[in-house]
Amino acid sequence: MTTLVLALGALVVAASAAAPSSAPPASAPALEALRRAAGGVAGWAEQKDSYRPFTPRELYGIIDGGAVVYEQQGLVRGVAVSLGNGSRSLDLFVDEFDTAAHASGMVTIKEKASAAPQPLAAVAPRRAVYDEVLGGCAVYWATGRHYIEMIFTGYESTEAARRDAALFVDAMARASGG
Amino acid sequence: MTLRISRRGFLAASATSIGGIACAGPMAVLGRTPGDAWVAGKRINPAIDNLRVVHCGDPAMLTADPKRWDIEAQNAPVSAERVRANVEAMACALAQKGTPADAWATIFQKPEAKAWADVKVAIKPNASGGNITRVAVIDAVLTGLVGLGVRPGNITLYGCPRFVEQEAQVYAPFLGRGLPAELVLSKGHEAMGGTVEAAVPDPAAGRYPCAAALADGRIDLLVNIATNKGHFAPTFGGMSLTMKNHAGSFEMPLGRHLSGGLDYVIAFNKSDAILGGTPPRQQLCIVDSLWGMTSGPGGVPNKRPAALSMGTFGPAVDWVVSKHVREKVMGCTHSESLGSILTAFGYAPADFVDLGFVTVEPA
Repeated sequence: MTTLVLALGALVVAASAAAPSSAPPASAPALEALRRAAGGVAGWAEQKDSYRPFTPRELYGIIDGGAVVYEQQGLVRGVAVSLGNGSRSLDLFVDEFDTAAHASGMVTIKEKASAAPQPLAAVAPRRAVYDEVLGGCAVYWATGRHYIEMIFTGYESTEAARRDAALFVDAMARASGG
Repeated sequence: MTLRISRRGFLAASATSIGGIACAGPMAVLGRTPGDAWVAGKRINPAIDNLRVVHCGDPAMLTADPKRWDIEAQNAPVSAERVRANVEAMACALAQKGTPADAWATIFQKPEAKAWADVKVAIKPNASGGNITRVAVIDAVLTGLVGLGVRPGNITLYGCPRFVEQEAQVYAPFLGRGLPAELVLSKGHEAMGGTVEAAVPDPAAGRYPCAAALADGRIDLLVNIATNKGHFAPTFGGMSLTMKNHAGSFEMPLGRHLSGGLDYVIAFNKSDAILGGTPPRQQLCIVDSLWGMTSGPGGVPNKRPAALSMGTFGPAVDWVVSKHVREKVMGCTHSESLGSILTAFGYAPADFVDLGFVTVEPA
């Protein structure tokens, strides 16, 4: 863990130092396009009243203290939404960062903090990792300046969750032009 | 220490406590910072060693793993009867008493001038995210308190004021259905008298927002029931158990998630709000590891330790859970800096001479 802590700390510091002062402004339409792409995956629908846009400070009120790491990493804004498909659920966070490198760096941070991260092979060559959770899996990936975190639950097997995750990654990556 | 506990003829418990005597002598009061309720060697309970931590791993507490992690789904597969039996067996092991009634009467202390019916109790669950202190664990403790004469209406579950509609409010569906109907569920700190600035001692001395009823001593007895989570922000040593659970009793400044987080956690766990009062306010710390999370604090559980751990002293409970549950059972790793949760209180990892488990098995 010491190594992880140092690596994470170094990554955050390095990322902050590298942040360009003239980063392009946040693009809410891009976030919305990714959200629509997720909602368009066959069989899935947004759950009523679950949509929540957030600023970095507002993320603190959604996921608690860990939000400050996102902010430090260059989070500009994001949306959180839950989707359902029968007994299956997806908690989806689409976060827009100031640079693509920082969005990708967020994947690295979450990968290092995961128990047993594995590549989501079905979406290669895109970089996406998953980590098994009870009843599903957590997936971390990035496309352009967007870092996307997906927690799939309600599954009989991780394999089934991974298959659905690949569908979402493909659909959202297409929407972002990635 | 080995205990054998028979209860209702179906449980036998072999208990090994974690023994160790604090060697630190009385520390000079001079030089202590405002709000410091901790003096090296202080006993939370005169009848129980601070370092005694009991543990119960019992898969029969769970009938299945939840597929979803909303509050209903993660309580449905919990055998409340089994949890209660185990918590009572653990209380017996902790207090070294033969019956749950005697055990709770030893573990819980009240101000001399008050009757149990007048004692004000607060319980801090971890009710944020997808791994929430299970109802059956809370209710097992409530049963012990009510058995002493505490009125359910004098017991408040509270949480962080940033999450007013979540935290303790998530238990609302269980009032009268697993929890006493009269139990008070605070919206943030609302039922705790609001939020006030309270002194926190070294190593993070200052004044910070705190639940008023803890800061002003209106709460006589505090029970801390955390869940087992990792924390991916590097500054907390990699985990969030009973000590970190008081981020919510005290507000956690944003910057503390990047640096100095563990110092702040140690500091508010020494504070008058948490350990002040006569007897000391926080008297029981439990980690609900029925399900646990390698990382966190967001996300959902990825491990099923099916375990509970209990002690009177939060740093000891957290240390033992980090070593025995998180590292051995869950395969987690932690920062070396984690040892400061002991050294800051005058203890050392070497004080834990026998890191044993309490095992509770069906007869």
